[in-house]
Amino acid sequence: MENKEELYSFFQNELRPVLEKYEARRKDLIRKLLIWGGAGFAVTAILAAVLFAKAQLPVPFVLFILGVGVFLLFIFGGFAIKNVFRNYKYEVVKPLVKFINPNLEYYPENGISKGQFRDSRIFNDRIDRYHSEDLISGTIGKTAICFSEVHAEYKTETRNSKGGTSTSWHTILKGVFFSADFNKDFNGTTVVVPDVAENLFGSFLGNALQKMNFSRSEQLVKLENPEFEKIFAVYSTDQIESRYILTPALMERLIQVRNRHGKDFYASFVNSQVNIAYGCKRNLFEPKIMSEIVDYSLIEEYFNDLQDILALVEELNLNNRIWTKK
Amino acid sequence: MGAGLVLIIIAGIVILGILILFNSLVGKKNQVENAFAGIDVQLKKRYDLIPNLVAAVQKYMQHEKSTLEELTRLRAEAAKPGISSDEKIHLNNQIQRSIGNIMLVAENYPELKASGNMDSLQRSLNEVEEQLSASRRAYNAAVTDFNNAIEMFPGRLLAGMMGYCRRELFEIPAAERENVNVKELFNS
Repeated sequence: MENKEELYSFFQNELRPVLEKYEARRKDLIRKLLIWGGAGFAVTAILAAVLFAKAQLPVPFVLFILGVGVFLLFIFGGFAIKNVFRNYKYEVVKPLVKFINPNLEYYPENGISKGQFRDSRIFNDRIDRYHSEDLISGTIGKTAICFSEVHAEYKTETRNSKGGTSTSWHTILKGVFFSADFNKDFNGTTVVVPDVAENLFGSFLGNALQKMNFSRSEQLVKLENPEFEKIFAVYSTDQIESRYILTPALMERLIQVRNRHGKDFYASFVNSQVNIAYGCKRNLFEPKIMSEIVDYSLIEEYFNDLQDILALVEELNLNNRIWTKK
Repeated sequence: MGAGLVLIIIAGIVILGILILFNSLVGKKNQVENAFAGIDVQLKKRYDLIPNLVAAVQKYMQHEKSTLEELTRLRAEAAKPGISSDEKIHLNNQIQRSIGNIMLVAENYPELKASGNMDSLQRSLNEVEEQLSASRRAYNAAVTDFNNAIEMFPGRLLAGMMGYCRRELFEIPAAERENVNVKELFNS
């Protein structure tokens, strides 16, 4: 973990030359896009006008041709942008990750597998569409970790009046999924999810509703920390084991981490691993096409996002290995 | 069709309600017993660790021989079959204090601390203490659940007839809640 001054000198010495290269490419691309885009649009417009005037085609058809032209321009532009920034993450984010901790590896195109995501048992929904990128893995101290961006969705189909079906997609999680080796061994499954029922209906009725939660096969675990109980509902296959994991100290820590990341926060403990998932609206570690690339604040943003996630190891005290698991 | 049928239906619902309530109370009582058994398992593990602990430290700790003998005696007593729960809890509180003292004194013996044996023992003891505290908390949660069920309406009506009464929470004795007085330990 490096401090801000070192980050700035790293930015000046290591990243600046690379960023300048991308800045030049970006400016070049924008100029080309304007020229080609303008020309392409003009050609389509003239073509449409000629078709309208000479061939007497109906107006909707002409508009359709215009639409196709604009659509193709967007597709082409998108490819061009992707092409220019193809190696950006390898040349900018990867060194930054190494700078923060040399024991970490960054794989921009890989992610947490759908299987690992499902096996965390945090979400019970069927996963119909899954995308994960920006995988980082390695060890911090004694703790093996990995995390990536994840977007998981399920779909629902509704039949409309005409007999056709319309599909709508619902997000299960869009954010960060973090998995680490836990400092204690255990066999069961313990899941910590936001408490919806208790917040809405108060503790007595809420507890009754939680107990009847049919979507979960695990038992409800009632813990002694009232603040924790208000925020989270805990389900586990083993009442004692869940308390072995969720000590009073860990409960306090989870409350603090959750308050930092917001309501959309989940944790699970499976196979001696801890999994944390939280919602994050931004797409992490991406270049910005419409603004200057040689920008310290952008690098600082990547740095802060990374530190935020890596801090979980300290915050959950995962390097504290005083039990039988070494 | 008439009043008779309505009465039968109402009686059926009431009987069904009583059955469900009865079963849930029995379930809660069994959960308390199950949780207590969970504590027992961990206590057994702690008894098993004691001979190893004594063997590991006695070579170094000639001056604390009496403490070690005391611990061995306590263990033998606590492991006897057929002692009451209260006695068991009392003996185990003493065992816990005694182990705590030994571990504290062990800090004074660098060769002892450096031996890998001691490290793994320390880990095992931490493990057992952590598991014990988890079992205690699980027991207390089960007892609270049980007490709530038999004191709240409508469980209250049935619990009396079933002879269920309030259970006590597993509390750590006042002496253990205080911080260990290290100075006193070394003077004794």
